[in-house]
Amino acid sequence: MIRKTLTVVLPLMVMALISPLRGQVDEVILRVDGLACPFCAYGIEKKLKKLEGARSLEIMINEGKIVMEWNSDSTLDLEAINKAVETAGFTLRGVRASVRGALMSDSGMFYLLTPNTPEQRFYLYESAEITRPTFSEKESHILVTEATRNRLRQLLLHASVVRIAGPLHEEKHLERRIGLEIESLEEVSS
Amino acid sequence: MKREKLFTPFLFLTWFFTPANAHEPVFSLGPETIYQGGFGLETEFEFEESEDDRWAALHYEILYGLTRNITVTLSVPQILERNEGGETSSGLGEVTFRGKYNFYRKDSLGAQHKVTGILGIKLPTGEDETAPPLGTGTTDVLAGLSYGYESRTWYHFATFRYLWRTDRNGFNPGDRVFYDVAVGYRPWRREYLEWDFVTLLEMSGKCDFKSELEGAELLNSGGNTIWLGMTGLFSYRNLMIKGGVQFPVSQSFKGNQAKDGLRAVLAFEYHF
Repeated sequence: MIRKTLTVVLPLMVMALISPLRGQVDEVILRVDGLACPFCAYGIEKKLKKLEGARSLEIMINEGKIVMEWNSDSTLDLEAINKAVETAGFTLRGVRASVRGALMSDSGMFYLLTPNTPEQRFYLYESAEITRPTFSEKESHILVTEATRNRLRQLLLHASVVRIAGPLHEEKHLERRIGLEIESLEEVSS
Repeated sequence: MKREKLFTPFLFLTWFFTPANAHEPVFSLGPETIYQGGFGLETEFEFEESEDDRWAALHYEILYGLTRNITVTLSVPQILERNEGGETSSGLGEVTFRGKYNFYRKDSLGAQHKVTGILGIKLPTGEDETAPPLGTGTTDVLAGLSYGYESRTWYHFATFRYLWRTDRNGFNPGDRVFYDVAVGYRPWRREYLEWDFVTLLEMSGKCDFKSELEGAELLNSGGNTIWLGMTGLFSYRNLMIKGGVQFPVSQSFKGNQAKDGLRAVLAFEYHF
């Protein structure tokens, strides 16, 4: 009962503490295959600009990379991004993001909460231990190493806002739950 | 003989100059399809001459991406001048409707392999009673297959098309096969929102089967021509300018027929 209450109340408390500017998806980077010419890339520009959260984008053809600045009020829909790339005639190989948010914990898993899009959670994991978390409600998964877990616990105690960057993936059967692989982690404030 | 002469050059222009889109070869069709929901507009100026005939035409084309791998195209030619033996005529040419289905695509970093099926129909919209005529008065069908590889530096294409021609007043000009190969090179690997240039070496061939009149084969019909030439594609974002010239390098005709000459294309394409 207490745990359930905390699960609901704690995120709201933390969201109240952090300002909109301090928590958001800063940047989304797409790895796209098939980008052979600038003329053909126009279709992908048009499709991605239609996404609700895409504020601006830069297409780097030589690197097969597209960098998007993301609107802090918009949730990140990986399926919509994949569809935009696919209908433009290309193949999405990966999505990376830099996310600033409040560090939270639930059922042994850590996640980031961004204040403007509280319905979306970024669950943290490390690919070295488990390559793909399942986000099952019934099972408790250890998604990070013990060292990282201890560090996250420390940050959690201080109600820290952190910035985590890494690859993303989405479980199709669970809406608005995105896996964020910890490639870099820094404390923004406490 | 006269009827044969009237038909053959016209069909040449109608099906050879099917405006290509994106980085397709200028004198052929490639495997490219436009993105889903995307529109393309193209205006193409074409010139072609043979020993006894000269053509100048504008093609207006609109293409639409039904899905990411199906593109439909409507092409309306306006014949600016057809000059044959001192007689000239001009006006609406043969409207064509074409569909492409890209059934194989393999993407890798900065490169795409594609194979696409092509199906087209030519409608008898051109005036066929003028001298010289601007149409054949027949509905013809084109089917083909196109393979293409595009990368940041190199391009290559191979396209095969078969044209089924129908009878008109007992005359059948004979089916035609188009075969095209092209190799392209991008000298500068420019980024998006920078101008981009690709040059292509294009070889195009057409092979005509014998014409028939009331079921009898005509002696002065059938043959093969191969053209070779350089083309260039210059683009910025969603605007492309492309053009080129091809010259006949090999011609073999049955009987006594006029030789083919050079042909040239200049086109503007805009996607939105």
